[in-house]
Amino acid sequence: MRSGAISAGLAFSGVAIVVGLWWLISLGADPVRVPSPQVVYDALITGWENIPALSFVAFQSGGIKQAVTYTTVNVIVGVGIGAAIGFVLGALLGRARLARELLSPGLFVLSTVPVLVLAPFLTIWFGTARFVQAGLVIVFALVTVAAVTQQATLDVGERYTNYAASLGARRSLLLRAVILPAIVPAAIGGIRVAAAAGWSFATVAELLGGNKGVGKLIQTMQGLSATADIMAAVIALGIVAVLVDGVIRFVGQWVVRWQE
Amino acid sequence: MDGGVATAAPAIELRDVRKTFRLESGEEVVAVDDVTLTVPEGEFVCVLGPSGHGKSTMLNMIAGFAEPTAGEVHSGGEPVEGPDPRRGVIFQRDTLFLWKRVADNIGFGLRAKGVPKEERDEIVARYLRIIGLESYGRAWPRQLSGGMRRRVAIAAVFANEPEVLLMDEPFVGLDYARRATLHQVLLDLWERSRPTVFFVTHDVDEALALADRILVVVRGQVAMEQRIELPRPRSVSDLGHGDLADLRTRILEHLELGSRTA
Repeated sequence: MRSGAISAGLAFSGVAIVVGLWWLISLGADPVRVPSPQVVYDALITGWENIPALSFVAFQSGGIKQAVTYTTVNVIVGVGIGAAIGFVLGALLGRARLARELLSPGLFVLSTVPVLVLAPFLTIWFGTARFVQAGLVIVFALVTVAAVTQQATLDVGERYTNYAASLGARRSLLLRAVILPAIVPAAIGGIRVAAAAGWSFATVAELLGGNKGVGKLIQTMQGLSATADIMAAVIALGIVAVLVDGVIRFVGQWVVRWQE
Repeated sequence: MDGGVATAAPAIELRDVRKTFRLESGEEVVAVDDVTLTVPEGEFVCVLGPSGHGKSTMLNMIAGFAEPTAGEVHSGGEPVEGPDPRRGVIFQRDTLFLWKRVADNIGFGLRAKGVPKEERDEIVARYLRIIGLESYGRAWPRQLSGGMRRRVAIAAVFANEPEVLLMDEPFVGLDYARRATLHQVLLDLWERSRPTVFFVTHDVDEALALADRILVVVRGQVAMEQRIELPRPRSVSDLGHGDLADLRTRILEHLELGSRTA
């Protein structure tokens, strides 16, 4: 086990190396194509609250902050909704044979379809509503969490359920006190995967048919060749993503602190 | 059932019980071969035999986890129709709920029964004391050693006050000293409530140390049966001398014979 200080030091060094390489490359490149770290940092500061061009070209006002907030909320709400439905569905599929035989093939097909393919349909059916922006995240989180939860439920094993039954546990107690806690670790793993991929799905959904968020900001700024603003927004979103993952991991570790 | 008979129904009764499994190859395997046996209330029976000769299958049918292919299994005069808290089970590797603290593991059966929290806490505290883990109530199972976990597993079942206790090689994999300690814990608890015990093991010395009666099961049948009158606890020197030493030899001969022809 590495100590926290060493890990933090290594992580910091890694970031420093990347920024250093980036700076070296920017020295010899066209500033529109590869702006230097300093230029991007300035763009982040000046564009944080307001990028005037955005309100002319796109339908969103404000700056990087508003765009990142919009996308972040979509990811968190989307993963939340998708994971909640996926958890219940997965547990049901794992426990009830009838449900498994009825729904598993459909879920399997859905999980093999690239989630992005669904984007046009969501737009056609629901327009540019916020629901569509989070829709891809919801679908991906649902499918991912349902799959791992179903497997974990099947893995709980007869020994445990037999033991609980021999102590007098009826169906509801068995479900509440035995099955659900046993599958939580797998579900948390699924949520982390879904959240990590959620950032891509949310921004791509905005590119494909939204009018707000980091995806839309990137698209707009690409038209204006404002590379520094794009990089600033992407970096800001990346930092938020790392923080959100840290929170999920921290809460997750606490929830399953009983694990061996 | 016969009505008017003064004697209580046996705690465990198998009548012509047969259990077969079909292998993937289609071949049928007989695990339990027309066994008839009764265990009177309060008796401590050890079932000895080589692995894979039907001991655990018998136990699973008495517990209600499996149904016999033919014959009848009764407990306390009633047919067994599934798991029942009157029949507690302790498995080979303990089945403690890892997500429940030690105290909640011990209190699980009481909670299932609907015993109010205060009363439950009292009973749990008493059992923690008996097994010598009073300061471990708030610990997670992962924080305990193998021997401690098995003590908790035993307490969890005894706290539920079963009439019949089914134990499936509960102390396998522990060293001699740990096992002797656990035998003492088990006997202490058993003396208090005197449930009927059906204890499956493949260790002859363990059976000799614990049993009122030993059943040797070979290839799905009871090959030998012997009552032991010697009082417990039985010391190592008891096991090495006189009747018990002879009995030990006879049992080993049966086991050897069984494994040779199997």
